[in-house]
Amino acid sequence: MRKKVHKWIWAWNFDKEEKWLNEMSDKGWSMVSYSFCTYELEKTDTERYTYRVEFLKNELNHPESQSYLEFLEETGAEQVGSWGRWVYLRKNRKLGSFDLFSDYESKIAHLKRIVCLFVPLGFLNVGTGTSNILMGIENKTFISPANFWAGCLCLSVALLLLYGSFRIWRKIKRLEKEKQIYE
Amino acid sequence: MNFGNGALTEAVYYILLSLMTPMHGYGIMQNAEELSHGRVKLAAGTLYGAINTMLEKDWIQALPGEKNSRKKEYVITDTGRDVLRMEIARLEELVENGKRILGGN
Repeated sequence: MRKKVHKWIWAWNFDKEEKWLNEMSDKGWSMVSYSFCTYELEKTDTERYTYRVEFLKNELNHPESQSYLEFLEETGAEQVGSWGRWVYLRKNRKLGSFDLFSDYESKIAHLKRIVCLFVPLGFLNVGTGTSNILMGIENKTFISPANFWAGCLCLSVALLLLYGSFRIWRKIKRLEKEKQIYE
Repeated sequence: MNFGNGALTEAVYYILLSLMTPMHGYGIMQNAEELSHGRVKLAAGTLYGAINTMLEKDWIQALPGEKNSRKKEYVITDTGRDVLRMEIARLEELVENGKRILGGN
């Protein structure tokens, strides 16, 4: 038996997404595929899985990503879904625990990858947003409402991306503090 | 950054020790956990990154695989052995100083 769950999770909350997927698997509903905001869950009565979400270094079809995913498969994990450079991975709990990163260094590197995408995209949107708005309201009259609203949309996207970066940046800072003391 | 006398990470240390015998990735994870009595659990992504860095540094090498097997096996190199010896000397210094100053009991 399968069911689809529609759920919106912000990218910077991917750890909460993992937690939710693991809790669902505890209840016997294990994710088997992902498409935009839609998680397909399968009723698994005996099997329980640990889920992990990762933002890859390269595009999914890049040879480097493929060799990485093959490596993960060798350790008993499987890929159950993807969205852009995000991949959904899981491992049957019978095969042992499943984590992607076991030191501060690699956890930080993963978070930095996300910020490095968000920040430039955010500023790009600030730029296009502002110029569109200025084009839309030249001389204090609405010359081009379409430009104005497109500009507002860009600025909202920018705000979200930069807010997300800020949230992840705070996580990075917390980890870096720990890293000064522990490995 | 390597300052020449830097400490190895636990992951790197246990990977090098494990690869005294040729092993594939999953084998390294299991071996490290066994050697440390369950304390060191190398996560797959961290392990993958460490293996690639150590391949670049020539501390370990990939063995030519069998045709039907996708699983890659790795083994320590002479450079890797030297690194391991230096690290053990460093660790001994730490332990000796610790025991001498703290009292050892």
